[in-house]
Amino acid sequence: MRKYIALASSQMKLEMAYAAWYWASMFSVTMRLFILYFFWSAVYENKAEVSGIGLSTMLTYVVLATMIDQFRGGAGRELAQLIKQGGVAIELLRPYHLLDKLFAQDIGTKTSVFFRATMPLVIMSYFVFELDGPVSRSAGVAFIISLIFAVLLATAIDLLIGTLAFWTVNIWGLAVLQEALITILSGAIVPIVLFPEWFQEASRYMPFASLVYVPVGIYTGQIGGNGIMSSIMIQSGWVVLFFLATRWIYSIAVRKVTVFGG
Amino acid sequence: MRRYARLYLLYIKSHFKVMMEYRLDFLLGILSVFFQQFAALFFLTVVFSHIETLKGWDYYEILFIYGIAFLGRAIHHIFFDNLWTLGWRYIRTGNLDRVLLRPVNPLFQIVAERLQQDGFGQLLIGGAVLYTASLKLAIDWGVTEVIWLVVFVLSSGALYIAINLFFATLSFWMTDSLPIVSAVFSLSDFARYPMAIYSKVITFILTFIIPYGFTAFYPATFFFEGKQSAFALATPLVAGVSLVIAYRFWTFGLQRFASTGT
Repeated sequence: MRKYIALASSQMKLEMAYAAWYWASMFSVTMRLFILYFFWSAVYENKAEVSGIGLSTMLTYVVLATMIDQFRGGAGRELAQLIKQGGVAIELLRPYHLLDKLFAQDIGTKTSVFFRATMPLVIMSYFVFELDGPVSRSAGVAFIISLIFAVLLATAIDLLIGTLAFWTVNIWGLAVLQEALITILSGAIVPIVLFPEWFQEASRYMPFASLVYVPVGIYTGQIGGNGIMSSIMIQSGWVVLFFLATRWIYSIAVRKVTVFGG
Repeated sequence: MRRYARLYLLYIKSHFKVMMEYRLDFLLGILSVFFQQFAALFFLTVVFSHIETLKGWDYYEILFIYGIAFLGRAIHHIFFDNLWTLGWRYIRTGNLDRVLLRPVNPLFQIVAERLQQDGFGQLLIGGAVLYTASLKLAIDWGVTEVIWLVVFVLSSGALYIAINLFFATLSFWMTDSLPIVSAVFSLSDFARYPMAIYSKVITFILTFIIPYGFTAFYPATFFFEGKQSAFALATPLVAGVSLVIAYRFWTFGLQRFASTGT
């Protein structure tokens, strides 16, 4: 009897370990949202608008941006790991394109995260922080399209950085740089309209705003009218560009691997 | 005591040898911390380019709070980082038994077995931020002020250590309490801003239950003319008591573990 009780309790510990990570990350994100809520409420204490944005719009922006920012990717790290540990050699023998496999897995992970973590947190935020709905119904539809492109782009950028591991082996430094650039330039922490002029101008020529600012800006109305169409076109352009570039670099790298691996 | 000092010196010597061997990793680690902190400072600077004060606290006062928090975290990060790994590196793998066999305090061994080099970047940035802020704050620096500043920074570090030690100790019962440790740690982000912006419940928790409020905000007010908090001078006391409680809990957990584990 005692051994079975021990087995049951060890299984319980295992189940708890997974659940613990889930609840811990839910807790951390919730706390971050609360800090943002109190911080921005304090900012608006004596002000009705900051750069033409009111408090409830700003809260809607930062909450959605924080949630979308959780989808930064992980496929690239997976690829870099495979390259570093040599697993890539076996992967190349298998009857699929490695990039497509990683991409498919990444979409799977993100879909699961979306339903398990993002949805509950967003619904909670709507009630607790009294967030706004999309500025119009068409903006809502455009937001969803733009959101999909944003997630695809995040995966594409991540895979590109991962592919570079064929040359540098350790992509840690590059990953850190990527993290920092995305955090600052994507509009994940603050809407890009609050940045100095020259900064906004520069961000127009970089892919980062397409990751967070474009979908959320469409939702909250910072991007409207013709801007919606052109922003989504630019997003899709970046997605295509990054996917093609990754494929191209990957094919060069694979040729190199074959030569040396011989 | 002298034996422990000599032992720690030996540990540090070997850590430095490793660091010199992997110099690139060392630099990248420092760089990554720079980027992370830079993002936080960038956020603050952008927001303050649109407002003058945050509920009566100006930019440099908040920078000063940031600076103390950075330094406290750096102390914890450099010297006590190994507490994070208690569960998966020592208890799960059975490594703890190796530690327990030696005639040296087990907590000392675990702590000394790691020196987190990334923390030096934090130390640098924290120092620079604190220095910049104090230049603008018209603080009347005398010997007492300098001594208090040192005491406050050390207390802040001690608090981070005590809180992490307390929750890491739960690993003795649940094998790896890392999810709980990291969830609790996410509360420390509240400490970056004046407590006045939060609701009463949150202020109460951060003052009396998990005293992150004393890691930066309360001690920082000591230096602000007319804004001193009554709690500021209690900081070293709170830090000391927290350390004692955490260490007692650790010894209790360790005893329980040793008597049932094997």
